[in-house]
Amino acid sequence: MTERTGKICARLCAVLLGCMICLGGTGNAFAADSRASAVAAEIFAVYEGRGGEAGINGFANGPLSDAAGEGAEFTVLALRQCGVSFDASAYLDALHAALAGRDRNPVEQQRVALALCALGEHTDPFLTGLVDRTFGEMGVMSVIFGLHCLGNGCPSEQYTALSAAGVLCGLQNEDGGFSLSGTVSDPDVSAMALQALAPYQADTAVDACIKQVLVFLQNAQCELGGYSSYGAENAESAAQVLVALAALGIDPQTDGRFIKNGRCLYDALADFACDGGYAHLAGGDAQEGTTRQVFLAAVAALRAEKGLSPLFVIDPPQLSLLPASAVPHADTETQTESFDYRVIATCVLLTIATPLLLFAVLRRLKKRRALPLTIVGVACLAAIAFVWLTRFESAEQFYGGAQDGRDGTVTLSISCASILDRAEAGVLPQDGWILKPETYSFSDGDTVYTVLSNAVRRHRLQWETSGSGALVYVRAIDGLYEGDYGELSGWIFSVNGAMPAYGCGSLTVSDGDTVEWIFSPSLTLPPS
Amino acid sequence: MRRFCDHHPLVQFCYFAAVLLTAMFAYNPVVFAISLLGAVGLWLLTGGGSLRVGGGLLLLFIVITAVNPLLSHNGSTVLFFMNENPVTLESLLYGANGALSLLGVLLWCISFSRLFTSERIYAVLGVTSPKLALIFSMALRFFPHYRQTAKRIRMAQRGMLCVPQQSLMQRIRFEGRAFSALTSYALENGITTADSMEARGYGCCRRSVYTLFRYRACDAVLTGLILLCGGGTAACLITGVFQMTFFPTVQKIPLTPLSLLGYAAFAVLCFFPMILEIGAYVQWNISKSSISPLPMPEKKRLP
Repeated sequence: MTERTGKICARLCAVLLGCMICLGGTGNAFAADSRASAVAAEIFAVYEGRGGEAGINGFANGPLSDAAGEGAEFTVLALRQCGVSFDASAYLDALHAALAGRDRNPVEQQRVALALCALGEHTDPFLTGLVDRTFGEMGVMSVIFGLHCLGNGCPSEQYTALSAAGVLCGLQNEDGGFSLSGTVSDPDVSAMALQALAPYQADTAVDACIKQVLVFLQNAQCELGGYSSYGAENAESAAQVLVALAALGIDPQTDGRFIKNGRCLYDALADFACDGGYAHLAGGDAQEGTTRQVFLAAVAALRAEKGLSPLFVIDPPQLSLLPASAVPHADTETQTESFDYRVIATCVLLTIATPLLLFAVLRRLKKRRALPLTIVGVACLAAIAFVWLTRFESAEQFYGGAQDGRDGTVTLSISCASILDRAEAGVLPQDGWILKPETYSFSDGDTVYTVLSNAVRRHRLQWETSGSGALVYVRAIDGLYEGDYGELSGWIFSVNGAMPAYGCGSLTVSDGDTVEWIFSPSLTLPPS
Repeated sequence: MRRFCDHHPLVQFCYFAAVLLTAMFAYNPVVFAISLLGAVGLWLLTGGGSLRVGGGLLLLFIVITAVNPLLSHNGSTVLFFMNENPVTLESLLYGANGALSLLGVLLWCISFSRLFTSERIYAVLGVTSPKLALIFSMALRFFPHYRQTAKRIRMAQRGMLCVPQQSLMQRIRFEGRAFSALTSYALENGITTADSMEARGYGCCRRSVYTLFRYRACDAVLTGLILLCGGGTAACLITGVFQMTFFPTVQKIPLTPLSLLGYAAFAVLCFFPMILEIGAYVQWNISKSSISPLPMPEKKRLP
């Protein structure tokens, strides 16, 4: 090789390296909508991380179920109230087992009742007579949580929500706040009382009480914007005040009453942030209970921002309130990882291909045969194209990559009922449903294919597709292949009962659509 | 003990039919492994092949195994995803199993073509239709015959200094000329053959058959053995004793007493030609040493 070719090689390498560096520089920008959603997303990511590979479901089946009846109740409530859907069956089983284990004190019983309400288990026998046997049995806390239970529809013969609110107002101290005992009020308890009273603001007596508590809280705020309880400024107190303010629709970032020296509650909470959650005291280690209370506060603030009911008035939103960038947490990792292997493969293949091709050109110039060299060189270049055109993912990356949208929901089902009578026993699900109708959220521009992809990912199904983009075609779902039951058999889909004349990759869904994937033996919809 | 290749062609035909059908249709790794082992054994005993052929077969195995999961995505054990499609372990194993089968069948076919010379084809087919047998063996002869002729034509062209050039056009022209010569030769050859056959009285009366092979008692014994073992494996095949499913999860290899019996029958079927060949070889060497050497005449020295 001459000096000149060497120079050319060096320049080529420099250009390649430059390209790689430029491509590598595109980082992932994390843009959160508000401070509340940032905090909620951060803690949610911690919870997901503790669930391991299965994400939030792993968390629900693992750590959450282990702590059933022992403090996990508020985590369940917060997760439901911010619209996160997860598999709660393991938690419910663990909760029932825990309830059978030992007697709970009245406040613990009321917390369990709130968790059951949050999970939609309103008919659980545990709830009957609960308020009557626990209300006021354990001081002000049992009144506060009893009131929450009443507000969420727990039956009671002795109390109505308003009468219970009246009882709570009667426990107010001279200084305007509330306390567990004595006459000196505590910001923590005052904030909790405020949370319980907030839904009954329309009542004049309650309203007067709320105003006094607000004044107390305003005065109790520390110089740094936080709150102290039992002589120490701590994260939990600040979190409880945040929940209370959210319940009343007060934004702590803009309301001058709750900004001290330019610092609001979020600034105060940020002081307690540490690796893996929040600490009780500034500079300490992350604690489970503290992190949970901050998560509750963030969810409450998030609900207030979206104009939803207070945290303890159970009304879970259909779509996750968490910022979209937080939910597909693994997705950004996917991209960086796949980027790495592509670059490595490209470098290796280029180092093989470039000298071969250069050598081939030199031989051609000398009028000698260079076909084998050229073939190997071009094959290497083709391999580079293959690596860049093919997306490789690990199973966890694929199944964890379900996208939550925020523009509406679609009901999707996958059925194989039409060929059930012809299938061998045990091959197909007995009821004919591969996936029962379930709602999936979507973003604008999502197609029927995208929704199916999310369903497949969420339920870890097998599938096979060919083509891509608008021309994508679904060949198999859950091991059931086109052609398995006759030449014309295959997967078809209907939207709102009709078979559209578009492919699943080009038909966009709209809010409230019902998409059915049907395995048909004749490529026609079965008679309904 | 007679060598397997010396037995009656009908025995060999039955044998290869039984083995090939099982080796193609039993989708069971144990059966395929036995088939491959037997095929390799017979392939080596009938002359083997160069290292290149062996390497090529191994490469074929690897390519089929690797490509199958990229094209078929059935199965439940996901290794990774490629363009949103799962690449599964089941599919990989299914591909390996298929490749095993293909390799076995290929090697059996090589041995078959080595053992089954045209006179053997004639002997087998001649029993039913001597005319068909003649046409069949003549047609089969054309492939090697024309390949040799093409080689000869090319050598002759080179001898006349028509060396293939570097340029693509020149090379095409050279090959075209050789092909044209081959075609003329083939046409002429057809006419000569026809003339020659007519001169020998072809078609003047009903065609009779003459074979070199006699059906002996040991052939009958062997046919019986093939029918027994082949029938056993066929029964296993039809009743689904060998059957195993790969999707959605790989089933355990069937190891019931009945299937073990089936494997044993197939193993006997696959290995007995090897046993016969080796046995005959050993017997020959033993008997050769027991013959007292005859006094050999002294070699005359050349003046």
